[in-house]
Amino acid sequence: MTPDFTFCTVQYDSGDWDSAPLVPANLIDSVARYTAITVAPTGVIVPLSSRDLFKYPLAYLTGHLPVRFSDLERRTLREYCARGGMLFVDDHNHDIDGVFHKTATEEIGRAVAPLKELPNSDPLYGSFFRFDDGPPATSHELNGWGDNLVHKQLMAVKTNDRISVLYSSKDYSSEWGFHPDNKRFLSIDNTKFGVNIVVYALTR
Amino acid sequence: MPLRADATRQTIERVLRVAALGLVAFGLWRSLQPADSRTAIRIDSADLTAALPSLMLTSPRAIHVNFGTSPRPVDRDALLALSHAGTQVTWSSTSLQPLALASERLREPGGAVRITVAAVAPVELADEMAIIDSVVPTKNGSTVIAAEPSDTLRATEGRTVATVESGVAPLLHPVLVLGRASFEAKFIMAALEERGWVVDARLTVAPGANVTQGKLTALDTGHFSAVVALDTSLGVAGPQLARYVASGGGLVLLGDAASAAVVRALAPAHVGARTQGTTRDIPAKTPLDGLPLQALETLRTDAVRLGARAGKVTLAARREGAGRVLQVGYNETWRWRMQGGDDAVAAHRAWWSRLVASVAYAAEWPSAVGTSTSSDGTSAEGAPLARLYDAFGPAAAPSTVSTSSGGLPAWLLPLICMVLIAEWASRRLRGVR
Repeated sequence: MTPDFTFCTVQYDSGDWDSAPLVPANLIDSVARYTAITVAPTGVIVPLSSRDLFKYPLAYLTGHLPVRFSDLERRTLREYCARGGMLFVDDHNHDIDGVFHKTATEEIGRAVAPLKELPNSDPLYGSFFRFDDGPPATSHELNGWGDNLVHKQLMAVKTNDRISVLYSSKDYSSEWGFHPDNKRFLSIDNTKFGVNIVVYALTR
Repeated sequence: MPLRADATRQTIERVLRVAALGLVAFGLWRSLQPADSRTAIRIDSADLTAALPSLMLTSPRAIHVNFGTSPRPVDRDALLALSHAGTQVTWSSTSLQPLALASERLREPGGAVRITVAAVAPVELADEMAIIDSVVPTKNGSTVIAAEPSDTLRATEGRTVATVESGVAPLLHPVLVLGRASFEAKFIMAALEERGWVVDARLTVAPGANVTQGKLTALDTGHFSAVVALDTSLGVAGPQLARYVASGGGLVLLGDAASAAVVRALAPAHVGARTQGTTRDIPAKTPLDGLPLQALETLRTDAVRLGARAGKVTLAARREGAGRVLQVGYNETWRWRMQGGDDAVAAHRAWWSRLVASVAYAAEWPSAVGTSTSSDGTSAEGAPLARLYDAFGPAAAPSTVSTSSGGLPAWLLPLICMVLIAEWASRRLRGVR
């Protein structure tokens, strides 16, 4: 049986695309734990310049370093979003003055469209678990690391009223970067918002 | 004593003599009747509209119309009324060509109209605003899809003009999508919404947990035009589907949805085992070849096969009560949109919209086929030449208009002669002078 969902990490030529290697396994575990969605037990890594990206309508991109897409990567991302794919980008620096944020937002603007603030009433926040106050804060925000801000909203590019690029400055890559077995030590599972992103991508 | 046979023959001869005298009396009566003073008229169609008011008053004995162009329906109907009132109406034409035009509103949002043309020469299609297309005739007619044409459609073939009304767009309700959360659900909903459908959905994410979109009111034709069932997770709506379809609703069964117990009796076929696409990728020209398939097996006797791939049935449909059920064997059609050729997004969108439209319930679905009446009551005529044949019979040469003005019927004199000869012969054969 073909799984409903396969976690896809995007590999791009510049920067450190593999800075959060534990996130895929953790989110795969959460999707399997909370939902009946059939999920592939392991994720895949797909170059942004590859046509294979189109096999995975939800893809995850992160990093700390400057992001500079090649022309082919830019074209591929533009087409990916136009066809209905959704790219989730997370700033692993949690720093809006950092190089990843500045370059990644610029590249997204060039490749797809400028990012805009996503209202906290968006269906994303109620697609499975309810987040009435918008995106959940991360421990990195609350501890004053990075830009020392608690970002109240995520940013997004929408195509036909559907999110095609979701951008986070909250550093979920650090928040979710632990072995799934360690969820048992958490009073509240902080990966639940990741499940919302997956469910949103499968239903909107 | 006369023979019995002679007595019989004498009786017959008396009858014949009385008949001959009766016929002569009839002839005398007819010849004394006043002659029909009405005239026979030949007229060109260009003058017909202006002449009809006076013709209706004088009621001529015969009219022959030479049609240089397609007649206006009101003129043709006036001629037909004269014909019923006793005027002999004949017609001829060297200009009119066989031409038929029909239009049908598609059950899709956006007001698109399917125009069908049958002709023997190239035809120009237009609406009130501009030329829509030109059509080269084919054996089985030609079809053009026009997006939102104006009210009146016109086909011109030489000097023959056919017109029909495009009709009023049908009233469509939302489409309900049922099944598990999946990329297939996402992309079907996206395709339908991008084509203008309103989509409600109930998608199962976990036991007891659904993602919903829309109001999800009662499942009936007053709220939903069609239901798309993605798989066997039909939820609370499943048991209502049979009643919904029987009352006129449309149902699209995708993949193994037809295996669900609540819809198995409605499905056109059984669901076969899943096989991969016949190509590794999604070919740009034949994208469906690259999709996984659950072939439709053991079609019901009342099911219609609508598509096949490599000998396996991919699409089938059947009627259930007042509704229709369409079964689709393809799986993961979202791959077509994501991995197909340059036009894949639009093609996937159009394909899904057509599938839903083919079963959708429309509260109003007026169609303009053949002849209809335009807003001014004068111009809608889908097949002008055929309507002439229907009203007045085949075309006739002008000389066939009867110039007889009354008097004795042509059969009278021969009949009198035959009666008299028979009476005379009978007498002579039995030896009486």
